[in-house]
Amino acid sequence: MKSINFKIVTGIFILFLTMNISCTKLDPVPYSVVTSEVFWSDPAQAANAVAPVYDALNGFANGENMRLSNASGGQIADIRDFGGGGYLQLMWKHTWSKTDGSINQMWNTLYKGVTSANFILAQLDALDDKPSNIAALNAQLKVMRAFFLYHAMDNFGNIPLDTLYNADPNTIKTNSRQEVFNFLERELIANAPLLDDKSDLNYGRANKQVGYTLLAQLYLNAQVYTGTPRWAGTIAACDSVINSGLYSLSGNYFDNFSFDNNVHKEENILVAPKDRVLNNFPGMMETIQDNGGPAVGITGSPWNGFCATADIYNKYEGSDKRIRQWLVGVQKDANGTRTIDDDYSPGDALAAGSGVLSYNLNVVSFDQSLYPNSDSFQFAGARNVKYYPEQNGRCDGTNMGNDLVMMRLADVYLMKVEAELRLNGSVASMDLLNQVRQRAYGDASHNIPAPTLNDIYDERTREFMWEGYSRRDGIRFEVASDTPYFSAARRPEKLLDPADGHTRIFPIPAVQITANSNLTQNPGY
Amino acid sequence: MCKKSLLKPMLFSLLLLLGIQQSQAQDKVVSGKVVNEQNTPISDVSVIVKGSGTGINTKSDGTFQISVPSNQGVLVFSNIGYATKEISINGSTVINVTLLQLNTTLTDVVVVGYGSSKKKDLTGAVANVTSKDFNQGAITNPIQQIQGRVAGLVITTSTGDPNANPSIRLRGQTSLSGGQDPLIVVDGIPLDDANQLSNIPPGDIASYDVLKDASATSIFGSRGANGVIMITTKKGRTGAVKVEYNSFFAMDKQSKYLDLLTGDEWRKANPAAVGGRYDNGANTDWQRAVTRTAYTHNHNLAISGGSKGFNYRGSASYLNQEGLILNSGKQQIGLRFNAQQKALNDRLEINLGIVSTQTNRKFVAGFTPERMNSTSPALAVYNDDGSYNTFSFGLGEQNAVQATEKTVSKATEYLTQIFGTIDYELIKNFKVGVLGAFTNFNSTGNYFLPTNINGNLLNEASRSSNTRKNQRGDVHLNYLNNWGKHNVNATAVYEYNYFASEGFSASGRDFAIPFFQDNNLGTGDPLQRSISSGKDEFKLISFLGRVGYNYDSKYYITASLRRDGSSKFGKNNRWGYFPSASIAWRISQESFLKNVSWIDEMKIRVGYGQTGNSDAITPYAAILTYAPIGSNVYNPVTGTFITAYGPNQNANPDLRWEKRIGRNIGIDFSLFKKRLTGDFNVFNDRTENLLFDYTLPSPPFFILPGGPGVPESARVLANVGTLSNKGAELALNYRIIDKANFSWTLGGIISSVRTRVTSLAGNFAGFTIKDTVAIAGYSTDAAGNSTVPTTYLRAGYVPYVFYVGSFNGIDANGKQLIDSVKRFIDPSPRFNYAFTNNFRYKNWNLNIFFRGVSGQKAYNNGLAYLESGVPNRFIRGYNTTKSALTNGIKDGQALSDKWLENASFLRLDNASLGYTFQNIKGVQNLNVFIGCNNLFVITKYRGLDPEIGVANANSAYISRDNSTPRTRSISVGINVTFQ
Repeated sequence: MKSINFKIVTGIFILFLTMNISCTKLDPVPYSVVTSEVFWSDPAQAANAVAPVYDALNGFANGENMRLSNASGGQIADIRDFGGGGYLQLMWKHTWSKTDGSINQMWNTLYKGVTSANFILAQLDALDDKPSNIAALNAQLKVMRAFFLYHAMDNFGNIPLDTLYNADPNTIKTNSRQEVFNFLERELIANAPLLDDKSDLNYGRANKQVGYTLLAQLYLNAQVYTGTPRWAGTIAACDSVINSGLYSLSGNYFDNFSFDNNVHKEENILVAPKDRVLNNFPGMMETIQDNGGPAVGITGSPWNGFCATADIYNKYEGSDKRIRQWLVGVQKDANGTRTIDDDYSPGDALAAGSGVLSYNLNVVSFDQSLYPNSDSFQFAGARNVKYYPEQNGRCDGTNMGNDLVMMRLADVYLMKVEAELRLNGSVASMDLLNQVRQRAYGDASHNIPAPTLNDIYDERTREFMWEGYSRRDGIRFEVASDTPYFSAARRPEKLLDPADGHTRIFPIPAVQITANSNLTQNPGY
Repeated sequence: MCKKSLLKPMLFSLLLLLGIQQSQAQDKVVSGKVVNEQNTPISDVSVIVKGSGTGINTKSDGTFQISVPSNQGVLVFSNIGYATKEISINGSTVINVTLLQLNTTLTDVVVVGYGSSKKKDLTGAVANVTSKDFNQGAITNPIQQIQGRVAGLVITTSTGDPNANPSIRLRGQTSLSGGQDPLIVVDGIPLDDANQLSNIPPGDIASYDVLKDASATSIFGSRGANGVIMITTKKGRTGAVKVEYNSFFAMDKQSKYLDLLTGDEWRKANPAAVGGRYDNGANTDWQRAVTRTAYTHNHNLAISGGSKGFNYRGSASYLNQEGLILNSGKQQIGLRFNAQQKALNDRLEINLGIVSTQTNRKFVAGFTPERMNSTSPALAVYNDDGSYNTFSFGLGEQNAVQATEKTVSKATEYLTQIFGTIDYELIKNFKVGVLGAFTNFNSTGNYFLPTNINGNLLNEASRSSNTRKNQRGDVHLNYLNNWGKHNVNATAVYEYNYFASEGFSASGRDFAIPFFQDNNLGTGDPLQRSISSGKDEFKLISFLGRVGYNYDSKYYITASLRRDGSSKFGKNNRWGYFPSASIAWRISQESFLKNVSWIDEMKIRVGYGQTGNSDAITPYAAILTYAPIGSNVYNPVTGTFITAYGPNQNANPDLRWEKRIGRNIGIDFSLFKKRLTGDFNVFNDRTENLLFDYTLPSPPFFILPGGPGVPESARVLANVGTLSNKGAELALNYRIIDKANFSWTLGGIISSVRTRVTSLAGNFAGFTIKDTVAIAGYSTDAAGNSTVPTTYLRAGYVPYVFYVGSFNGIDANGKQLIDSVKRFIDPSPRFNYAFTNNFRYKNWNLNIFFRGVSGQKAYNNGLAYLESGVPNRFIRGYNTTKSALTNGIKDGQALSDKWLENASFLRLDNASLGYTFQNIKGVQNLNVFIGCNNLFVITKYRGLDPEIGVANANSAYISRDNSTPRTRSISVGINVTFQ
């Protein structure tokens, strides 16, 4: 009996051990996500693989990068009530700090582009069966990576220069602005020529002209980055774009920003394509007052906030067509009916009429309590409608499909003009400046015979309003001339920046330094 | 009613199918009465003719009448808590019996993981609650039956929404990212998700066994870290067919209203707005306009019985619970059947169970709870012609009645479980068995939002279906033997679990014919259709064993080991071991205490164990995967927008379960002739390899897409930090008076747990992760957006510690003066406690149950929003409270300790009065009761209710008043048993 029991028990334990071997396969089997191996095994899938880089460009075009530049450069004052616009007011006043979430968001967007490019380059490199256009594909990724690194270097100065996927995190440290500049120069010179020329097949993607425009921007600001001006390099890079003959100024300034600007491809060099359903942006919501929708033909209730002060608005003369990007005064809808701001109680009304929505240029302060009544606070500042919404009755202000412009030929023209003026003291290519001005004024009567640097600065302000240039332009003009274009006091509430110039670069976000203690904080923070 | 009439025949036919036979031809009748030592009648005692399988149960007055085949034979009297007695009939026709009470704290059989144990033999910290101690009244979710009954088990119901799930926490918070819910095991089958508990009809539950310390839960390995609640459903037992019917009817009303302005008061305080956009001259009380007296009725009908080794129980239940807010509620139909067959001289035992529940939910329309407090009372609900007064302004202010009544937001859930076990005694003392179980949970959601609700220009509709499947099988061996005073039992199990989850959803907008709602999604705007689907699966394979030994029922030692492997874990850590050991000493059995008359029983326990928590790990969390990220990207070659695929997570081949190491010392005692019983536990637990989304530097790591509550950032789910829980818990039960006609029992529990995040730093893939400071919860900013970081996860502090500045009054302009230097404030409770008084006088029974929390703080974001910047609120069409008219705060809502209020409370959670009828012919037991839930709350908290949800990290200790307010309910019920 005992031995039988023993056999049975032994037998069962052997059964158990067998299970141990046979029933313990535990490799995960995914269904609605794919592993890297599966993704890259199909060439058709791999062809779309550059998409994450352009997803980052989307984030760049409609993200904090643009807002922080426009606000710190003095073009966007954010008067959102209830304090919602606080962080952009810090930007306006140059009193940001390294713990500001918006600065970290900018960092993340830029490095999202960089690390995505690193990853895709590594995956492409590891493919046994590489696509036939691998050289152009690699060059495209490298130029886009340079785009993000350039903006990171421009904003943060000294940044980690990482070009490897799976780099040992312990080796990532801060590189100087000079090192990053040298890298970008090499990278662009090596890769821009490998890219395709402009065609419909690379709309919204990096082409050869994108590469040279970026190189021109790098050279134009070289004095800020390295202390050494590179005006001749700027001119040469601009010429590569201009002489390609593939771009021309659009006849109508506003065609570049219209809801169908994807059909007006003559001037825009790099855009982030948008679609009202598939990839929209809430352009009108950020600027228009809560009840101001009818005046711009949108159906939603906007958020109110982004505006410009009188100092900005007054840079435009009445005959400058570009002034039409501003909404000032009493607002009317398409039928000419005045827009009523029924948020407001009768006692709160302006002299203009009971509750009539009327934007005024008097941005007194960011403090609501310093305004005579809540109307004058809510209505303060000029509103920018450069990206005008589609007038189809279906746009609520959030679902805008205008492609966002990151680079355009007018910038290349004005870069060349500025570089010539700085290099030679005079402008050889007057025609380029005049083309821009004649489009704005409709004729040659406003041509400037002998432009000064200040004229160029003002022209850039008017031409590239809210396009993300103002911070960089202000700093460049300030460094070159010692005039406080960027750091000067301005109304409302901005004081003169400290003399150490530390506000010319943003702090490395505190979160990033906590995450990687090899990073060095910028001076002054 | 039609449902009930349908169910009954269904059940009977089910029984017929299974070939149930009534007792055979009867010859002779024996009657009598069963009492206890105090001469109190005992009901529900099983009386069986030995060897025949014929039997009945005693009535509520203790009497019985049974037919026996002959004058000879033996009657067996048995009941839980009493020593079983066998009496020979010997020709008698009347047999009166006195059963001796056992020390019930010792003999109750307690269900532990993969087996059961007598309470006296337990070596871990296990609390047992049986149906006689369940909370009574309007119970709609089973877990409410034991709320406040188990020391260390904190069940928080923060809302009156019938579709909200209570949060269940055993011994505090054990994890930061992982689930915190204990593993719920029903009849040996773990639920995939603790929330599925709401799909189980409460009336079917017989007992709960709560495994608290790691030495008890370690047997559940990587699933046991949050404790385990073992639920045993009611079973049939040998005897005559028994029909039970339980029912209650309840009425709920909102228990507290905010003291908001009426329309007239609003106009008086805000004269400039009279006749403006936000004034229709109305006096609308939105709080009462969107709520109602909600009625609930619940029915549970069960038939059970058994003979000759076959026992069965089948039940049907129906619940219809209206939500407090209009157009919300829950309706549930449940069927449960289980059967046991013994054969081959009881060597073979087969168990089978089938469960099916359908739950129809109607959800509260979005933002209704917020709107009912914030909308201008001067606005009317209806226009003069009876149509809705449609309005839309500010941050989603709408006519809440219109939105609630017009929005369709529903779900239908099906929970199906089939399980069976076969156990065979292969040789003496050695059993081998197999178990198989299938669980299938499906939820189908329906949504339709008509045009002009929530400010939408276009109507929209969606439908979704999600299915979760679990297949489980095991092979188990049991060995039980003794040699003299040496007692041994051993268990070994191989277990296989397969989990799969599939979902599908589709949505559309702009339907020309809104009549379709979500039934014809293809008719919407082709450009605005959206579909999505997903599927995942994982496996869990386990080997486990447990050996228990005791000498003379005096010295005990138990040891267990589980080995878990899961496909969720990283490839470097796919398998883990979870050991435990515990010892116990029944000191009362020692000779030196044998003669101490006031000590009946005393046991000292010491336990150690390791468990795991892998809830935070999704099936593919360890590998680098590609998924759609961020926006659609334009493809110039095709001229279309394509989905951008990119890495959506970093690979972590080292990813594994969180390890929880638990130590527990406890004492169980029964004193003064069992009048004072209780237990006391002290524990010191530590969670290592804490799973968390740690911040990584970018570069070199990817910036991953954001998710709900997670910004776009570089991060990885990794096992890095540590967390500790230390605490003590005491449960006492004192029978103050215990007479035949009158008794008074006082019971109470108190527990305290101190949780600290001890570290959020460590190594990930050779890289040092610095102390991550994570924002956990947000309060709202001046514009009403939830963007102000308020609570944090930070090493050295309690999870969700507040970091706020002090409020120092207001300046001349009405601006709040808040210290810029912030400080940390611990919101967690010092104690949770509950006490219950039970009085029994003759047939009357009165139960009064209080529950409280001491030392808790809560951020009253709801009032901070309503009461800040009152002049501006009026201008924008919002309401405020009466007290806010004089608070002087003119600026917008700002974070400060002004709104961090004392949320300690004492609640009269439940009071019920019951009466048991005696001697009704044909009725074995009849009991009626009237009960009241949430009769009153004593608290300093100014908001609607101080019991704030802690389940969601984003809103832990932060009250936004964004869920259905709590209710006060009155219920009447009946429990009747026929035999």
